[in-house]
Amino acid sequence: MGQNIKMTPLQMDALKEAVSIGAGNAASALSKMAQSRVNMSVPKATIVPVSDIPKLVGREKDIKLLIRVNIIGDAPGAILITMSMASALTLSDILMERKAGQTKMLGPMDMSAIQEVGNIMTGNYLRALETFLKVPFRSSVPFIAMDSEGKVLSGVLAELGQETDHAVVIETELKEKDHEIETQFFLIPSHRSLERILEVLGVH
Amino acid sequence: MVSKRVMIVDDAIFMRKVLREILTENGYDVVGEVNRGTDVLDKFKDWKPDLVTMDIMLPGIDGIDAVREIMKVDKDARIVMISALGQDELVDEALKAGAKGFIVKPFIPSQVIDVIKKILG
Repeated sequence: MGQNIKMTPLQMDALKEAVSIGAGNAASALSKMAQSRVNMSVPKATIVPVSDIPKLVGREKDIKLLIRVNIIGDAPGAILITMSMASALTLSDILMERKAGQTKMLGPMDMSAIQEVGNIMTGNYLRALETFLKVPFRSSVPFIAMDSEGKVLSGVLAELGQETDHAVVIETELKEKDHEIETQFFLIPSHRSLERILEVLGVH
Repeated sequence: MVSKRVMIVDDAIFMRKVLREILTENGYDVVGEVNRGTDVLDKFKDWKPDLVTMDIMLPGIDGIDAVREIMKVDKDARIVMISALGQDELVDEALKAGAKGFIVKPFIPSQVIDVIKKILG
């Protein structure tokens, strides 16, 4: 634990290709939900120790929105999607067809909409990864929470850290007209699942 | 002409809003909304809808079991499953249980209406 997994440029390209396909699908899905074109930046993908995730998510004092989806079946694990409150409010502006900056607080409808985005984006990412990596992924209903001071994230990572050491991190930026949203997507496979993924990518 | 009556079953308030808007804008009468699988059968009996839209994943009992419960009391019930990408096996199971069709999220309104029209005839 605590060491990055070293991959060759070719293996990293394979992972990034899978991630790009997933990100493209997720952007298309979000475009449908928003009924407006959503563009996604080229996602950055790396494999990092789970212990590094809090540092990547950012300052603990900031409130973040956290969506967790459990992956069940043959390749268990979890997915975490994080975004700043500013991005969450912007996303809600888009989904609720409000003007930029109109959403000031996240009510039940906003949280439900964002949770649904998490559900749909997760499905799209996993489907792409499944096709590319030939590893079956099935997901549960998403859990959404506002996380101040990183407490929820710490709890989730403490639980997941018992089953795994590493995570695939995907950072990407979404743009819809004047709206910009930054999200971080963490795929946290169990030991067994990561071994399968790495085997497919040719890493042992 | 009497509007066809639709019951929406989904635990996500946002998805219920999206479906309600699509249906009412296209002339359907949303007779009620349910957010838990355990409430589906009672409400189905109370409201007697022409069609049910059923989310596959629900708290309480899941959408597939809710389909089975409805089919036991009304073998002619018309149920459309609402699923996310990557739920193909669940959709297959729901169709075997008696659902008449499915729609994958995210959907565009015309796709929803096309599927519903085909099922309602």
